[in-house]
Amino acid sequence: MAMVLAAAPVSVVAQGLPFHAVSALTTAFEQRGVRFLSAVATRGNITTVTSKFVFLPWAPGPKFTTIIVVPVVYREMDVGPSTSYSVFGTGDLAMAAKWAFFTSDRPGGTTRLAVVVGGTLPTGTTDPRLDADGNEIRALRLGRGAVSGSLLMAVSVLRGRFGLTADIGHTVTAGDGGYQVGQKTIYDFAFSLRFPDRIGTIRTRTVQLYMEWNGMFSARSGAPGGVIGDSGGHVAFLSPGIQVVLLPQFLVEASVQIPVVQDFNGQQPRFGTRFATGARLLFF
Amino acid sequence: MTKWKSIALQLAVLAGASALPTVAEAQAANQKGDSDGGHANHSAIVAPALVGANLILRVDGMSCPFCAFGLEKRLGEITGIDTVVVVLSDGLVAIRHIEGVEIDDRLLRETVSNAGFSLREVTRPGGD
Repeated sequence: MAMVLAAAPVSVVAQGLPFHAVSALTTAFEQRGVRFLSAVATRGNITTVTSKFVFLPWAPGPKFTTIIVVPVVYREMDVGPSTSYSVFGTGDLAMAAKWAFFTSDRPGGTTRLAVVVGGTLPTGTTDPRLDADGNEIRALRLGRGAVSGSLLMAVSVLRGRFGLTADIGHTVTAGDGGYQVGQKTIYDFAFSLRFPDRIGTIRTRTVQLYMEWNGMFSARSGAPGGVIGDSGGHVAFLSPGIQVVLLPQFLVEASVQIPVVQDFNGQQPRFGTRFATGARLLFF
Repeated sequence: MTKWKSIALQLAVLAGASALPTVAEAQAANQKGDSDGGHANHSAIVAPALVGANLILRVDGMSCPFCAFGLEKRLGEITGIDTVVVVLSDGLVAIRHIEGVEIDDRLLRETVSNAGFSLREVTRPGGD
């Protein structure tokens, strides 16, 4: 069970214009941008603070871009009124490539489809964190200890001030010493509304309001000796968010993720509300 | 094309670019006008951006300022182009270039494409 505590329904690349959903766009941000985001999440007696540095280092063409995500994680587990265990370090490095294979532009809008292929490397901290009895607390491992691969499809439809983004993806993780993270299917929907409706030049300050649905189905995980019954299931968050474009090349953003579906297999700790903030910068 | 855009273009053609505000001046006016959010003064912002432009591009696919920033920057990197103003809601890009410089349509199309958008039409109000 402990292994799946680290799992959260957030895309590995998290680079879309919506806060959580993956966009099919390959415009300015995807070509020359950086993003920083930080999120606080709770599940049961565990609190995790994750900061992600998202780099988009190389875009060889207008329809192709690459993404690198470096996570830094602090995780704390409360085991009593005055006892807790914590760990701080790097999470698994994520890399992805996005190809927008369909584009249909129109005045004031566009429809795009993209495929994202990516994965994570086992670079995250896996040093054993032991409890008072000398047993390892696997939930405090920040890395999976194994490579993972993901394939994701995204669609973005923008019409004037309205936007709709959806994605669906599947992740498979290799085994690690008898432990096996269950396969995951992630899906997101995001609706956006821009203020003001009419924009003069790109120096107009704008606000984007988002309403996202971020979900994930997880298969049961495995451990030496068999399948973990209390693992996997379906979790989904309703995620209102806001982005403020302060400068043409700089925006700040925030999102709240409210768990609305927690249909777990067996007995598992429940997710709490998650809070996330971030900023994006274009470096033309 | 809306009435005010048509008037702006006709003015540019009739009076000549030198007698009209430059795009740079229009851009400065735009920045000032945009500080109130840009909504109320939309027409006032867009019209001066077009007046004095040597080139007006109609670009499809633009819907957010953060996305279109790259277009302005990439077009501005073309040798001979002096000023670029992206008018987002109307899908227009007003360009002022150095006098005597020829900006090839193919280069414009390639630059717009590389920024992630589609060039629909190029208009030369001054007739150059």
